[in-house]
Amino acid sequence: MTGAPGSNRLTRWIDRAIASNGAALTCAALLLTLPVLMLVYALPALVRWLPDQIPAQWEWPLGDYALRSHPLFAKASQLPLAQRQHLEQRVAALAQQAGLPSVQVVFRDAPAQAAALPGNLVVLTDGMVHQLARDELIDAVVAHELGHLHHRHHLRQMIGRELAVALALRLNGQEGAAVRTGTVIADLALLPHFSREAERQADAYAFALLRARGQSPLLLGQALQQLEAEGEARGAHAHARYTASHPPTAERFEQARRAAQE
Amino acid sequence: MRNPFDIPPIPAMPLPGQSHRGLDGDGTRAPPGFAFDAVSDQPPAGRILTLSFDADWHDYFRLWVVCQLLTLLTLGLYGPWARARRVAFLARHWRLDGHSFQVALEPRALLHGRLLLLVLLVSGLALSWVWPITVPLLVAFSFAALPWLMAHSFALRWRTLWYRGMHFGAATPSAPLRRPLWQLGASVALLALPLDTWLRGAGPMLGGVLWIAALGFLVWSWPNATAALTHYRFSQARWGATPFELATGPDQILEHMWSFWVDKGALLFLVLMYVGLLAVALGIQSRDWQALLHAVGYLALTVFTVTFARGRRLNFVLHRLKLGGLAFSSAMPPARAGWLTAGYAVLALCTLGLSIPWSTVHYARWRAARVKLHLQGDWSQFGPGPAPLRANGVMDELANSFDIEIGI
Repeated sequence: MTGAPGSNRLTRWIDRAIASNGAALTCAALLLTLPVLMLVYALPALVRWLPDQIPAQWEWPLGDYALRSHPLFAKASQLPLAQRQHLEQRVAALAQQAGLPSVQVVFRDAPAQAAALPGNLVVLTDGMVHQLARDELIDAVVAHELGHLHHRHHLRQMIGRELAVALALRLNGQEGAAVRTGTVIADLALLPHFSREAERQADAYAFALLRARGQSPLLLGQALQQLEAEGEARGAHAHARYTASHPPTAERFEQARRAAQE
Repeated sequence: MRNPFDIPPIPAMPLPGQSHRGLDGDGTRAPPGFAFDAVSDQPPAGRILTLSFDADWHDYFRLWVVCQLLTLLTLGLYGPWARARRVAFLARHWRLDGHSFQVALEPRALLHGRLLLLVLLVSGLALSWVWPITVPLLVAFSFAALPWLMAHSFALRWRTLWYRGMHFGAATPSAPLRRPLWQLGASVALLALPLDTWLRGAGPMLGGVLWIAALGFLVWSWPNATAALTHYRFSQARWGATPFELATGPDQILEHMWSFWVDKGALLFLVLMYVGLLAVALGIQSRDWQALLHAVGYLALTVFTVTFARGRRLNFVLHRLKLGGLAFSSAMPPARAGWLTAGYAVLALCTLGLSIPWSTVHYARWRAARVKLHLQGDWSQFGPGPAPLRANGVMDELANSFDIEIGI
């Protein structure tokens, strides 16, 4: 550093800190604890605040692109037109009650799945409609997806991922192989955690919306159990705890049961 | 013992009055017959100079940890000053023939460059979110600018390095880098295209076939770019008024790379290892353990592979590099370098990065012990050159914070 006396004083202070074993140990301890605090408090606060500064319309092209490019959404729905129209009306009523009037529902021929995409898109698959069969169970799943739209989880998770990776990179000093270490940490541990939290938030939103309509939150728990059974029968993988993108179905069912008793 | 990671011997040079005929037998290259840590068939002449790295890891740890914390607390703003301190510390502990090196980075220019780069990256990211179809265009645009950025980045690295009171320097012609880097950019941009979506109506296989063709283009263009960058890094540089001379071209470097990865089946072995790892992971019921195994294996394999390839390439290049009366030889076992670096990466994972200062010092000492310099004549043959010129200020600042390593 050159020039100003302030900068020379700062440089001398840093030089003294570098020469001191005590200062180095203190810095090492802070380097271990500060990132944890950042992850627990600062990162979630940023993820909550930043997306609210971005207009919702800016996200819409993302949803449209995902719908056109994701292989899961490639095939057109085989459901009868009357059934699709019936479900569209139910979704519209739900969205109206949720204060999301411009929600568009899209049907695709795929295994049991439901998704919320930016641009107020809800995707329902033929597999899910066949598996759940009852309108009330489909309502519960749609309420959960409306929760994702309400909270803008897609954008929040994208921002959360970038911030988490940046923090992990910073921790490892951006030196060569350590860069890969940082991204491994972010992908393995942090991102599934954020995803599970988003799913819990969407569940809570669904419980509130179902209660407001005079329906039981337990419907969501039942729907999730049926979808899990269908997935296991299909051979979809289970047995993940730390890397799972969703909380365990048993935990979600228990939350639904408690919400129904409130 | 035959060296499995063979370095082709330096072609024999004729003595004065002797013709080239007969030196190389029937024209085929002589098989490598020297052990890895021995000198080549034509060992460099001259006095062997001692290269050493004498830093104490405790000293580096103190500097590193204070700089890391300050960088974290300032959300990266102190980063350029931290980098300047780290690089200066490491440089002055590299000693050659009793003299140390010096590095003079400009932190303010680094900071300006990083902020500029951050603005560009955030803008590109935002654009790719709003219009995902622009991703291939952004990739193509980034690679279009890459030759100039790489040329200036190399020149800046040399320009900020000093030894015995004389600075290094480098020319910055970007022409040798344009074709290989643009080809690499084209292959990456092709892979980023949503071919599957665009060509869905033309048939289920066409998109997949084109994607595989684009992947093949990447596999072909990546080593080309690596070889060109490796050659460029040394061929444009000088110390004082004396230019570096590299007795090999990008094509020879490329041939050296392919001879190992393809001819000896190393690439196939690597792919099989990774597929095997995946197969083991799939057999595990718990997805958590699957993910952990996949991640650690990927980390170890990629870190090992990149270090291995770089080590092997560096050995090849150093054996053919001269600086006036100064010649180089390198006996760094690439496999050991790969395992060391992979171990450092896993250790960094376990210690949340606190092991990095120790591993930096450890690796530098290990490398210093395996590189030799040979001086014919004395140091008076080297003289100062013209002061290095700064290029365009913005380009300097971008290049200052632009640090890409491309390699297999």
